[in-house]
Amino acid sequence: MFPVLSSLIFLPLLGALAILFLPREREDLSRPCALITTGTVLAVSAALIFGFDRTAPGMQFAERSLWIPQLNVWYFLGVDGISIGLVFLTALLGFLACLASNEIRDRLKEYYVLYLLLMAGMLGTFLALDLVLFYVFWEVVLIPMYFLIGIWGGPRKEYAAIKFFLYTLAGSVVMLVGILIAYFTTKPHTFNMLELAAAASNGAFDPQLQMWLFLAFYLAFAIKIPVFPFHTWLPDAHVEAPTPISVLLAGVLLKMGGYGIFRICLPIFPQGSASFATAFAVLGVINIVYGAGVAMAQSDFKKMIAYSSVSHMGFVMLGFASMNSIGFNGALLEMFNHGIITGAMFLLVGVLYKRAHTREMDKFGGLSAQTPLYAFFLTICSLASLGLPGLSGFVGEFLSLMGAYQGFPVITALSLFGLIVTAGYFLFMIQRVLLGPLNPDCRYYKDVSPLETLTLAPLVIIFVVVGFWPALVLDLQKPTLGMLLSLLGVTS
Amino acid sequence: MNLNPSLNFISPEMVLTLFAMLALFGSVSSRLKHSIGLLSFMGVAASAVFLPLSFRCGQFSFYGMLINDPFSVFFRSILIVASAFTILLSMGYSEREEENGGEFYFFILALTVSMMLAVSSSNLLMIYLAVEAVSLISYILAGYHKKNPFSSEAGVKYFLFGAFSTGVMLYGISLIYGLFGTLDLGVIFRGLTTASYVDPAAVLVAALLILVGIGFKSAVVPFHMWAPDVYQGAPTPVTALFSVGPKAVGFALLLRVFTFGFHSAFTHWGTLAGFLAILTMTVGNVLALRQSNIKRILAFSSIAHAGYLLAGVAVGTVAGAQAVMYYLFIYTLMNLAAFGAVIAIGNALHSETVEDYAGLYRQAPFTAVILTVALLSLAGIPPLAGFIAKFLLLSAAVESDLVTLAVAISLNSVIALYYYVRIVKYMFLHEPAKSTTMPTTTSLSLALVVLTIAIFILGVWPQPVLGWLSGLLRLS
Repeated sequence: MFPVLSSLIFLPLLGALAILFLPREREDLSRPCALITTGTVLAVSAALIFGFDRTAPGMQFAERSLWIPQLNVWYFLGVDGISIGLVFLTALLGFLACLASNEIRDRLKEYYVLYLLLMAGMLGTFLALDLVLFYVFWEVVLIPMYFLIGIWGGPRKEYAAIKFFLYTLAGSVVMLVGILIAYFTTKPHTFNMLELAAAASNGAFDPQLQMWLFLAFYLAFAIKIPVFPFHTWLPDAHVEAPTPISVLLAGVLLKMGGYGIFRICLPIFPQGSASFATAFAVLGVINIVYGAGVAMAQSDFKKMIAYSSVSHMGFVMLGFASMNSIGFNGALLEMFNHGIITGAMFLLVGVLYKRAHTREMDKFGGLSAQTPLYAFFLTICSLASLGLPGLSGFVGEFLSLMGAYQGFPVITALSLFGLIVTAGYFLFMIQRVLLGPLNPDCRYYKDVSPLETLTLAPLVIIFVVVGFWPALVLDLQKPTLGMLLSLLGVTS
Repeated sequence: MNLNPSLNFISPEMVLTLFAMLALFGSVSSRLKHSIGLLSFMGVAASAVFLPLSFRCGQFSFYGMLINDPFSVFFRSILIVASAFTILLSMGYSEREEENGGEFYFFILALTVSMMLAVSSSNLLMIYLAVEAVSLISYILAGYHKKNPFSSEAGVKYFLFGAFSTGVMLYGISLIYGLFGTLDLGVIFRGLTTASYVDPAAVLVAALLILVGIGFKSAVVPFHMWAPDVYQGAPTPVTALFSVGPKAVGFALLLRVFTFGFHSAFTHWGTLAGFLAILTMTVGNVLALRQSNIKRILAFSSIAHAGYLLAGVAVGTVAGAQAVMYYLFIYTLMNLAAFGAVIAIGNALHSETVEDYAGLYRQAPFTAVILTVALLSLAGIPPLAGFIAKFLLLSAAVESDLVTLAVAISLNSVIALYYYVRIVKYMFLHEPAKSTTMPTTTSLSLALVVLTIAIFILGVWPQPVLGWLSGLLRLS
C-alpha cells in the first residue's frame, strides 16, 4: 500500500531539499517550488479525507516499522477522527499561507526551506503515534519557527522568537520526562500511544501517578494552547511574526496543544484528566473572559486578533472539561474552526498592513467605501469569529458550552459574558476600520487583489459551509471521540 | 611471561608514538615542515588500523597494568576520532605559530597516547602516571602561544590547579595502598566486598580524594575553576581537544573506578554524584549566560555537559554507563564541530566575541549553518544527535527512579538553549557591521562537513553506534 501519511511528511522535506540546492542566482524559483510542494500536500490530504472511513473509530492508513531497536522507538503513523481534520487544516493553511508569502522579498530561499520544514514538523506531530516520534516532530517545529519569526518578523522579532522558543521548550522537556516515566511504568515497556492507552485502561498507572504524568504532559500542551497563565508568549509571537507565519501559528501550532490533550492526556491518563475537569473549566472561563477583555483594550489590530485566539481557546478548554460527547465534539470542531477563521483574520490584517504599514486601528476609517471587497471579507470573518449562527464558529462554541453546562452551569454562564465582550470588540473594530468617514490617509488603498482573494475565499467558503452543515466535520470525528469517551468510562 | 600479546595491545599507541617522533624530527627539515599536519593525520589513521588487532588481545596486559574491557575499547576509539579531527582543525588554524609546527603536532599525538593509556589502566599507579602525563602535556599545549599573555596565563593556571589536584589524588591512592596493600583495581574491588578488616570510612576518604583528581580532569564543579581561562587562552584546536579528550579520560575512570568499583561499597555514592551532577550542570549553564567570549561560553557549556555526564554516572547502572559513553561520543562530535566553526570564523574575523558574529550568515553561510547545527545539537534539539544522547541519559535516570535528576537535566537544557541560541541570533538575525571575506581551508572544511553529516545521521539513525555499544557492554 502506498504510504500516504509518510508522503505527507516527506513531501515538504523533499521540497525543502530541492530549494536548498537551487543556485543562489535562481532564488526566485523557490516560491514556485514551495507552492508546488504545499499544493501537492494539500491534494494528498484531500485524497486522504476521501479515502477515510467515516464509520471506523480506530487508526487508519497506519504505518509501523521499528526505528531505533535499542530504545524500542517505532516509526508509527496513523490518522483517525481526531487528527484527520487537523491534518487537512494544516495542509490547507500551509498552502494558502504559502500563497500569501509573496510579501516576503528578502532571503527567499531560506524562507521557503524553513517554511517547508515547519510543514513537515506540524504534519508529523498530528500523525505520529509513538511518543518519542511525536516528541521529535513537536520539537522540530520549534527551530524553523524561531528563524521565521526571528528573521522576517517585526521590530521586536528577536525577543518574540526566543520567548516562543524558551516557553515551548520548557514545557516540552518536562513532557519528555513524563514520556519516559510512562514508558518505564508499563510492562512491557512501550512508547506506543495506543498500547499505552490500552495499558492505562487495564490499570497500569495508579491514580496518584496519573495525576503527576497528566500534569507533566499538560504543562507542554497548556503552553502551546495557550492556557492562562502560560499565554504571554502568544501576543508577542503572533504580532511580530510575518503574516503567513502568524496564520500558521494561530491556525496550526495552537492546535498542537489541544490535539495533545485529545491524543495523550485523555486516553492515557483518564483518571488524571477527570480529576482536573473543574480546573479545565475554570481555566477555560478565565481564557474566554480575560482574553476577550484584553482584546477589547487593544489598539493594534493584530494584537487584538492574537488575544481573541486566547479567548477562543478557552472554549476548547471548556469542551475538555465537559467530559461528554457534546463537549468533546465541540472542542475538536472549535479547534478546526478557529484555525480556519483566525487564519483568515490574520490574512486580513496582513492585507491591511501591506497597504498602510501600520496596524493601529485608529489610523483607518471608512474603508468600506474605499475597499468594498475587503470590507466584505473582514465583516464576514469577524461575524464568524464572534460566533454568529450560520457560520461555523457558532457551532463549535455552542457545542462546547452545551457540553460544559451539564457539569458546570455557573462557569458556563460566566463564559457567556466573554461572548458578549467578543461581539463588542469585533464590532468596535469594524466600526473603527470600516465605518465612519474615510480617513484621508486611506484614499489610495487598493482593494484586495486576486491573489489575496484566492487565499481568503476558500477559508470563507469552508466556514460558511461548515456553519450550515456541521455534520461534514462532525461525522469525521464522532466515532473516534465515541471510542475515547468509552475509554474514559462515559457512555455517549 | 611472553610480552608479545601486551605489545599487540598497545600497537595503536606505538604507531602514534612513532609518528609523533617523525613529526618532531620532520620539523627540522624545511621541506617537510609544511606537511607535518598531514603526516600526523596519517599517523592517527594508521593507528586506527591497529585498533581492531588491539581489541582482540587478552583481558590484561603488562602484568595487569592495562585492561582490555568495553570501556578501554570504546574510549580509545573516541580518543582516536577526537585526535584525528583535532589535527584537521589544527591544519586550518591560521594563528598557529608556523615555525614550531612539528612540536605542536608532537604534543597533540603524545597527548593522545597518554589519554589512551589512561583509559585502559586498571592499576591505580598506572592511572596516576597516565593522568599525570596527560596533565603535563596539557600545560604545555595550553601555554603554546608564547607571545599571547592569555595563553601563558592559561598554562600557568592549568598547571597550578592541576598539580594540586593530582597531588590530592596521589594522596588518596597512597591511602588505598595502605589499606589494601595493592594498587590493582581488580584486587581492591574484590577486597571491598570480602575483606572485613578494612575500615569503610577510610576507603571513603581515599575514594573522595581520588575523585578530586578525576573531577578536575573532567571539569566537575567545584573543581572547574580552571576551565574557562584555559579554554579561552589555549589555541582553539587545543581547546577543542581539551574539551573532549581529558573529559573522556575522566569519565572512563569514573565509570571504571566508581560505577563498577567503589559504587557497591558506599550507599551514598549515587546521592553524592547526583548532587555534584546537578550542581555542575546548573553552575555551568548559569555562568555561561553572561559570557560574551565564545570560547568561554563553550567552556561553561562543557562544564554543564560534565554535569549531564556525571548524572549518568550517578545512576550507576549498565544503562547509565551506556548513556554516558554514548553521550561522550556524540558530545565529542558536536563540540569538535562547534570549535571547528569557531576556528574558521576566527581565521576571518580575528575575534572570539559573540557580538562580532553579527550577520555572519551573510558572509559565511556554510560556517554559520554548521555552528548552528552544532549548537542546537549541544542543546539537545531533535532530530540532531545530541537529542538521542540526552534521551538515553534521561531514560537511564528515569529507569532507576531518579526523577529529580531527570527533571534537573531537562530544566538545565532550557537554560542552556538561551545562550546557544544567543550565538545563533547574532549570526542570523543581525546584520553584519563590516564585510569580511572568509578564507577556507580544505582540511577544516572537510572536518566540519564530516562532523555535521555525522550529527545529522546519528540523530535520525543512531543504530550503528548504539548497537556497537550495547554489544560491547553485554560482553562485560
